[in-house]
Amino acid sequence: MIAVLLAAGAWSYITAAYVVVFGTLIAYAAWVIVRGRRIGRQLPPEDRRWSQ
Amino acid sequence: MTSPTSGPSAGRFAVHPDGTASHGSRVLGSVVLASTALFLVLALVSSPPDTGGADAMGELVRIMYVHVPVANACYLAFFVTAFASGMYLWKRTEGWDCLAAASAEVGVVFTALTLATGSIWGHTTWGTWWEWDPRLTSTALMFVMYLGYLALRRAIIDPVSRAKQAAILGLISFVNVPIVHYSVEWWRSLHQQPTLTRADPTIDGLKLFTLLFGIVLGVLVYAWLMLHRFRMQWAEAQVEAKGLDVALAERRAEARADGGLGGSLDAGGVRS
Repeated sequence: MIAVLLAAGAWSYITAAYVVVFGTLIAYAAWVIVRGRRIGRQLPPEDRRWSQ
Repeated sequence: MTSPTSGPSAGRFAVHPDGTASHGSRVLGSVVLASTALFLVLALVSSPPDTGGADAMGELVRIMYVHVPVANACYLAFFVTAFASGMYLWKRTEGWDCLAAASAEVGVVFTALTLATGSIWGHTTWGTWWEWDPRLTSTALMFVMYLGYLALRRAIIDPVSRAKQAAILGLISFVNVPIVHYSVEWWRSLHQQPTLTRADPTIDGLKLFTLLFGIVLGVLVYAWLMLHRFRMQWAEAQVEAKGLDVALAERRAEARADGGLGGSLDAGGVRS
């Protein structure tokens, strides 16, 4: 019983760690993509070498 | 404006016409997504809890599968920043400055995640969210130093001066990275010794494979973020340069209109 309770407590920490890591990376990636598009609109296509 | 799904890149890996994506980044992104799904299965389902020895971590070993990869990715990011900074001071080309800036920002994100996951892990194993331990303190110092690097880049308007000073700071800041890594060997530390590089690795089998897979995934995520972040940095630099050109042209036009008020503007926009 004690082992089960300890394991349940451990899983809340594990969940928190994975949510923090993947949540932050997804939010940062979304910010980079959205801001990249916003800035890309201000450039002529010939200056966006990667899209050619 | 063309449709996001039109043009030569149409199809499964179609890219937005205004964005920072390319066919290659889409392919890499797909590999990252598939690898992430596999990693989550390995780390949260397939990999067994740690049961060996008096220091066994039980289920908490699963936190290590994300903590070590994000720490490894921040080392890589700051190495790239230092290398690109050195290359900028040597070559003085804009691309190296953009690479250093982009990698520093991605590295700061990974360092924040290293501190956060380490704190969660520490609370379960040490009973405290934070200790002024050599590894934790040197990592926090590294985080603050690279935040300072990013702040410096925002504080200086002149692109050439900004790039030069940031490159110098990028090189100086990297001195702390090996101190962070070896702090657990150089000083008495609550933090455990290196898991993989020691003579007798403390994990094996599927746990070792999951950790190594996580480290590779961390590098892939870094590479994908860098592709986009570097292109964004490059685009920002181009927009900034065009803005400066426009401002300079307007200034020259004003000077011509003033006429008799005297003088002309030199290449730097300074009245002579």
